[in-house]
Amino acid sequence: MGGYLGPDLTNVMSAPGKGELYVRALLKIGTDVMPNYNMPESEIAALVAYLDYVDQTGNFPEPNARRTWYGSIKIVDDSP
Amino acid sequence: MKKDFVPHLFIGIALVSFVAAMAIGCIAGIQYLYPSFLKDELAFYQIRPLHVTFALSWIVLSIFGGIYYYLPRICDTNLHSRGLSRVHVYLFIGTGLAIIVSLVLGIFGGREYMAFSPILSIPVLVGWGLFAFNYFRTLYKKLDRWPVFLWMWATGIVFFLFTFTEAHLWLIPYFRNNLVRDLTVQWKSYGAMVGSLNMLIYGTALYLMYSITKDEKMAYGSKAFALYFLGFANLLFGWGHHTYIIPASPWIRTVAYAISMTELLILGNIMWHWRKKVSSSLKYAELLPARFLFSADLWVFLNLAVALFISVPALNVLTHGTRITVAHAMGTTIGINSTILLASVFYVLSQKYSGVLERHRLMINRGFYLFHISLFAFLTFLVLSGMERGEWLNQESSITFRALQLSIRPYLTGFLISGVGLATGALMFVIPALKCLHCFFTGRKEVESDLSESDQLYCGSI
Repeated sequence: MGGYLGPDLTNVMSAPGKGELYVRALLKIGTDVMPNYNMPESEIAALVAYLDYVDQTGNFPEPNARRTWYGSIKIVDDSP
Repeated sequence: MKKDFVPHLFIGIALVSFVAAMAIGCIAGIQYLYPSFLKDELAFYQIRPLHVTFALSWIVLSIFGGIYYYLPRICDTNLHSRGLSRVHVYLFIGTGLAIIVSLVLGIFGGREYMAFSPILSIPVLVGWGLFAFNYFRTLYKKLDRWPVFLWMWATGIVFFLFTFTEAHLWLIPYFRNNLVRDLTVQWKSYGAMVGSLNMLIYGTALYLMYSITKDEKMAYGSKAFALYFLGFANLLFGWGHHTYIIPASPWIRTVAYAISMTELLILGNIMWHWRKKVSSSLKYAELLPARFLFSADLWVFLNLAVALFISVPALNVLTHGTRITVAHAMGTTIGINSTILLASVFYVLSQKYSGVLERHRLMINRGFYLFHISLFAFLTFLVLSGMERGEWLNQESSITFRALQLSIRPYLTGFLISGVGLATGALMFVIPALKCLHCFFTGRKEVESDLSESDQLYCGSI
């Protein structure tokens, strides 16, 4: 669900307009919020692999999730 | 070496940690508004563990200071080994400095809340071990009937040793290599560790209430023991609501939450009834710890209200992962735990330095009110920004994270201003407390040459 200073990264590897090159560029240059950590290539590759793994675990927000009146989350299968 | 040297030294470094935690918190508040502030020198990923380390140090060190001071008086004997207590305090100062330097240099290796290298956990564990040994050896065969606060401290010490060790099980591949097992053990240990610290803090509150009013019910009453047993149950089972990301039956969380809330309710109830017994004839310095306990009582009820609000499942789904949860955590850490520990600090200092405290009465009073009003504003802004984020998390539209950050900027500004107010208010009563400690460590002769005439008068009158 993201942090307090940065956005959610669950699907950053498969999001339109983002992906591996985008992630690598951010890690190498930094942003106005995130510093450039001067990571070696091996650490960048490990982070990219981790984000790839996270991307495979599901979606956030989950398009088929429905909130019940009780506050719990239900996954609805809309497929025919 | 002076008697009570170690308790006063613990209290001194606890107060310095308290001020440092708030100063660093203010820097973090500025970074929320201006992310590039100190981005390359002291980035948020360093600021956060530093803030947590200083806040935890304040809590733990002030607990040590209090218990080392109270224990010999309760047992009417000397501490089993003052030498070991000195080793304990110097070990903690050395380890604390090593942790701070490593975090500033960006050397991590641990996990959330204990981000420093696990190697540094060894001296921490040894220090707690020395404390436990001294505590139980001092108590051994001294009392026929233990008052409730001795049970609470004993339980808190034993279970802290257990949960602190448990929190490092991730170092063993068997735990680390299974995600669900790893998360379960990690959050279980943290949840139970909070329960252990609560035992030590609530025990301190009961001891202070007993000492101020000499009310036997605070030491041996059934309600006090009910708080102990409920706190113990919370320690054993209350971690259930810390493991929300682990697949578990909903009833586990509900039971855990109910135990936590009932514990707070009983603590609030005990304090509420105790208020009436505090004599109005007490002098200012004697009344000061009681005033901090009164305010802790109000924060207990306010936090209960917030906790009950966010525990309603339909609302919890909107508040989870937002600053509303942070508001609840800060409300308990600052509003309840810190005010109880401040009561303990001022109780110890008022035993010998009531003159110094009386001399700074106006400043302490202003600081006290500024601290509490700022804390109320601080928590309100956290809740407001949390509500905005909760709505964003649960809506269908695709507003970007950056747009959300811009929309909550007014709340973050209020959060920063109230945070600065909180730190300023705290400084206004911490400075007189540090002056008392200065009197203690320098002794009368040194004091006469270092302090102003008015301060000499009060230090000299001890």
